[in-house]
Amino acid sequence: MNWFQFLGLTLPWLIVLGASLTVLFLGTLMKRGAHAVSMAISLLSLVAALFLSWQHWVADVTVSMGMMSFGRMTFLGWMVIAIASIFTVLLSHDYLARRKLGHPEYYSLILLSTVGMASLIAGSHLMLIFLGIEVMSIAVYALAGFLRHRLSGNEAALKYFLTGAFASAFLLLGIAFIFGTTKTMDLTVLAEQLPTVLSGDMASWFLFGVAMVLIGFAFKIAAVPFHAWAPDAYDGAPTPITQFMATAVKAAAFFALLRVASPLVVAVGPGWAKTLWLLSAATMIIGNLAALMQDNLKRMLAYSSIAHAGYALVAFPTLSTQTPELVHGVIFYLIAYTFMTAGSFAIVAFAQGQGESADVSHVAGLAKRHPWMAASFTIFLLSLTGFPPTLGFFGKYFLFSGAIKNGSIGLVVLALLSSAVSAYYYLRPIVVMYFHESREGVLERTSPATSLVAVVTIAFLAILYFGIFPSDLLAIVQRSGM
Amino acid sequence: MLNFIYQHFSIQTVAWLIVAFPLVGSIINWLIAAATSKKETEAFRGLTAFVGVGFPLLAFLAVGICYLTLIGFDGVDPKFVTGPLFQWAAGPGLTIDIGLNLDQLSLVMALVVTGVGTLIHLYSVGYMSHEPAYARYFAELNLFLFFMLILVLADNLLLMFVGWEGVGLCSYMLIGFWFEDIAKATAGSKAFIVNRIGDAAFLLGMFLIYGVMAAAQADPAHGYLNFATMASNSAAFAPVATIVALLLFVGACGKSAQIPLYVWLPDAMAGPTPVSALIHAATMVTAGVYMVVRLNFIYVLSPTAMEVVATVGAATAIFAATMGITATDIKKVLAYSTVSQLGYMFLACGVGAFSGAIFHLVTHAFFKALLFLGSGSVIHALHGEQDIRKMGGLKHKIPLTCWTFVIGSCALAGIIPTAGFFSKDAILWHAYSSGHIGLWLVGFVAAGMTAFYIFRLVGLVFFGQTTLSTDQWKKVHESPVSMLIPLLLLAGLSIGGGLFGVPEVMGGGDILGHWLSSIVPQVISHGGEEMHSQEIVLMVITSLWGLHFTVLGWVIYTQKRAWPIKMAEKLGAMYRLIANRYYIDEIYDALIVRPLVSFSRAFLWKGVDDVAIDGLVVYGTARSIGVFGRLASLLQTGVLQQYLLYFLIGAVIIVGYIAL
Repeated sequence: MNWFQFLGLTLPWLIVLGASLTVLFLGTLMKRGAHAVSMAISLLSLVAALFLSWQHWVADVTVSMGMMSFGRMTFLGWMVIAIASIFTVLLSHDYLARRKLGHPEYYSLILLSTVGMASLIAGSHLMLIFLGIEVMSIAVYALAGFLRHRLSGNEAALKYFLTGAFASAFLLLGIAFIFGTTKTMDLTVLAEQLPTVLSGDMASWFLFGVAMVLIGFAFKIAAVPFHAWAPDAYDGAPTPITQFMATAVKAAAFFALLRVASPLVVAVGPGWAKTLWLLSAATMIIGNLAALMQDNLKRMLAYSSIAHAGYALVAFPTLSTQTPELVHGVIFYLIAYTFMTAGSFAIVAFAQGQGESADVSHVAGLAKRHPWMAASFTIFLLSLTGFPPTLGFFGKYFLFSGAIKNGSIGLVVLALLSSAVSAYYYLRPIVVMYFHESREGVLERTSPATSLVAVVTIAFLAILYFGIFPSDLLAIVQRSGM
Repeated sequence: MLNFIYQHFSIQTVAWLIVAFPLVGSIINWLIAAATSKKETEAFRGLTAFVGVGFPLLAFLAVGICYLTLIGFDGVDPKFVTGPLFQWAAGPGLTIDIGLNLDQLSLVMALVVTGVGTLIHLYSVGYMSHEPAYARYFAELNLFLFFMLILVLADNLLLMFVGWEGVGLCSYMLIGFWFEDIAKATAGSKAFIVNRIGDAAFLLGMFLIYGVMAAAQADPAHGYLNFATMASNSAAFAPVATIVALLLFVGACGKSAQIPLYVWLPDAMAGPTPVSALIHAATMVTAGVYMVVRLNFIYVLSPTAMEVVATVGAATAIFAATMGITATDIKKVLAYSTVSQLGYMFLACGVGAFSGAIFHLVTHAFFKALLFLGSGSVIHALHGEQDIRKMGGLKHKIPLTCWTFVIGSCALAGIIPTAGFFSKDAILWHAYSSGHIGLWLVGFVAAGMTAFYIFRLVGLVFFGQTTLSTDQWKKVHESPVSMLIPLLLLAGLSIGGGLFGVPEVMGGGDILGHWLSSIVPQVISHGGEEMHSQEIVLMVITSLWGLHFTVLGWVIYTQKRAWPIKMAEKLGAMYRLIANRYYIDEIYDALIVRPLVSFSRAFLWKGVDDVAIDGLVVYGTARSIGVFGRLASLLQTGVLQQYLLYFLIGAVIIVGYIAL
C-alpha cells in the first residue's frame, strides 16, 4: 500500500480533522473572539476540502486501498457533503451569535461529523462504513441537543440518540451476520463470493444480515416507518443543524447505500424489489401527507425531506450494476435536493429571528419587507415542488425517466401523484409571503446577515443556473461512473 | 473595417450579436424604467433614446456584416448556421438546440427588421418625446426587436415559436401601452386572445411535425424540428402535408391577420403610431408569411393547402380593401390596407410564388412603414386628431410629410416605377400565369380599390379645402428632424426598393428571386416569347388600372367631396354594411363570444366548475387528502416507545421479504 498516495487522497479530510482539533483547542485558550475564529477556520478547512476533492475528481484517480476505495463517485460525494457543511457553517454563525451560544465545540462537532461522512462515502469495508456512520451520528446527536436550555432541544437529542442507538444495533447485527456467513466484510470480496454463499446452506442467514443492514440505512435516510424520530429531532435542533441533518447526513447515507446496495441487490433477487418498492411508496406518501398538516416550517421541511428520500428511493427497486442511469438519477437528485433544502432552511433561520420556531405566519409579508428573500424562497419551494425551470424539475425528471426506463411505472405514478399533493404545502408559504400582511411585531426591518445571504444567493444561482443548463451538472454526474 | 472584424470575430459571433444588441438595449432601458421614478426619467431621456436607437443600429450593422460576408461566397451556396449556442435540452428523441441560421431568406428578413426597425426607433425619439414612460417604451420596443430577430433567425421551429410568442407578448404590451385607458388595454387583450387561437393550431402542427419526423427516423442530432433536418426529410410529410400545412396556416392567419382571425389588427391601432408602423405593418404581422415561405417544402406537397392559402389570401385582400374605402380613422385605413396587402402575400405563397411573397413583404415594409410614420406625423401635427374628415389641405403646412406620404401612397397603389408596382405586379402575374385566373381577377380588382382608398386618404388629408378651424390651423406644425429623416429614407426605399425584383421581361435581373432560389422552389418558368408578351400586356393593364383609380380617388376627394356622400346615400344598405366592417365584430360577438361566455358561465362555471371540479374534485380531494394527512400526523405521537414500535414493524416486514 502506497501510504504517500493514501495521504494525498485523504488529505481533504485530514485537513478538516486537523481543523476540528484546532478549533477545540482554541476554545479552551481563547476567551474572546473564539466564535468568529473557529467559524473562519471551519469554513476555510471545508473550502479547502471541497477544492481538493474537486482536484481529485479532475485527476480521476480510481484506486482501492485497505478499507477505502476511491473513484470519481467518492470525490463527488465528498464535494456534496463539503458544500452542505459549508452551508451549515455559514448559517450557524449568525444563528449562534443571536443566541449567545457561539461555542467552538459546535464547529468542532460539525467538522468531526463530516470526517465521519467522508469515510462512510469512501468506505469499501463494512466495518469502516459502520464506524463512519457512528462518527457522523454521534456528533450530530450532540449537535441536535445544542440548545440545551430548551426542552425541545433535549427532547430532540434524546429521541434521536435512542432510536439511533436502536438502529445501530440492527446495522451491527446485520454486519455480524454477513461476516458470519461469508467470512468477509470487504464489499469487493463479498461481491465475488456471493454466488457461493447464496447457493450454500447459510443463504438465509446471509440475507437476514442484508435485511438488517438495510434497516440501519433506512433509519439514516429517514425512510418510513423508520422516520418517526425525524420531525421531532429536526424541530428541536438548531436550524443550521436541521439543515445539516437534512442535507449532508442524508446525502452521505445515500452515497453509502448506493455503494453497499449495488453488489447486494442482484443477490437478494425479487425480495429486494418488493421491499424497496414498499419503502419508497410508504416514505413519499406518509411524508407528503403529514407535511400537509404542518404549520411549523421546520416540521414541514422535515416531512418534506422524508418525502424526498422517498422519491430518491424510487430508483432502488430496479437498481443493478447495469443501470447507471438510476445511480446518476439519484445522485443528481441528491445534489439538487441539497441546494434547495439548504436554501429553504436559510430562509427559515432568517424568518425565525431570535424565536424558538418558525411558523408559516412568520414569513407573512416577507415579500414587502425583503423582496429578494421572498423571491429566493419562492424559487426554492418551486424547485422542491419540481417546477421548471428550476433544478428540482430536472432532478425529478432524470430520476423518474430512469425509473420508467427500468419498468417502475407504478412507483413513478405514485411519486408524481404525491408530488402533486406536495404542491399544496410548498405553495402555501408563497401565498403567505406575497398576500398576507406582516404580523404585529415583525415590522422592524432586520437585515439578514451576510453569511446567510451568501447561502441563499449560492443556492438561488445554482438552482436557476443548473435548472436552465442541466446538462452541465448531468455531465459531471455521468462522468463520475458508478 | 470588414477585415478587422474578420480577424477578431468569427462570423458566428457577429450573428449572435445581431440578437444580443437589442436585448442589451432592452435590459438597460428596463433598468432605467425600473430604477427611476416618473420625475427622474427626464434626466435619463437622452440616455434612453441613445441606447434605444443605438442598439438596433448596431444590430443592423451586424446584419450588414453578415450580409456582406455571405455575398462574398461566390458560386457556393451562401448559408451558414451558427450551430447550437447551447443545447437547451437533450434526451432520447428530443433535442432542443438554441441556434441561429443565416441564409438568404433569414438575412433578407433580418435586414428589413433591423433596417426599418432602426428608422422607426429613431422616429420614436421625437414622436414619444412628451411621453412620461419613455424608458419603458424603448425597453419594450427593443425587446420586440430581439424576439423578432429570434423569430426570423431561428434554425428550428421551436426557437422560432419562442420568437413568435415573444413578439406576440411585446405586441400586447405595446398596444396596451397606455393601459390606463381601458379601451386600449382591451385592444391589447383582444390581439393576445385572437392570436392564442392561431397559436394553438401552430402548436398542434408542430406536434404533428415532431411525430412525422420521429416516425421517419430522421437524424436527431439537431432535433427533429430543425429546419435543415425537416427539409432533408420532407418526403416523409407527404401523407399528412395537408393537415400540417393547414394547421400552421391557421397560426399564420392569427399572426398575419387573415380571414377569419384578422379582427385584432384594426383594434391594434390603439398603440402608439411608431408601434403600428413597426409591429403591425412592417415586421411582426409578416411573420406568418415568413413562416409559410420558410416551410415551403411542406406546402408544395399539398395542392389542397396551397389552394386554401391562395384563396384565403385573395379573399382577405379584397375584403379588407372594401373596408379601407369606408374607414374614417387615418390609422384604421392603413390597418385595413395592411390586412389587404398581407392577403396579397399569402396569395403569392398559395400560387407558388414564394419569392414574390417575400419581395412584396420587403417593399410593403418600406412603404407601409412610411405611410404609418407619415400618418403619425400628421397626428403629431394635429395634436392627436385621427379623423380624416376633419383634416384637409395640410400640404401647405407640412409639405415634407405630405410629399413623402404621396410617395408611399404611390407605392401602395402600384404606380410605376415605385417599389410597390414591381412587387404587386409580380404577384398578380404569378397568379395569372399559374392558371388561377379567378384569383388573379380578385387581386386585380382589389388593386384598383387599393389605389382608390389610399388616394381618397391623400385627397382628404393633404389636399383640397381644410376643414380645420383657424385656431387649429395655426397650431399645425411640421415634425422634428428625427421624425423627418426616417420619412425621407423610407420614401427613398419606397421608390428604389423595387429594383431588387425588376422582372426579366423589363430587363431586370429579378435579383431577389435568384438570391432566394436555393431556398424556395422556382415555380414559374419564363419560357417562350408568348409568355413574355402576355406578361407585358398584363403589366400595362395593371398599371393603367391602378393609375385610373389613383386619379379617380384623388379627384373625387379633393374637388368633389359632396359626391361620395351622395353615393353613400344611394347605396344605403351596402355602404352601411361596409362602413360597419360587415358587422364581423358583432357577428363574432353574437356567434362565438356571447354563447361561449354564457355557456361558460351557466354550465362550465356554475355546473362543471363549482359543483363537479371545485366541489367534488378539488375540495373533495383536498378534504379526503386532508383526512389522510391528519391520520398520517396522528402517527407522530411524540412517544418514543411507539416510534420504536413502528421501527420494529418495519423491520419485521423487511426481514420477512428479504430473508424468507
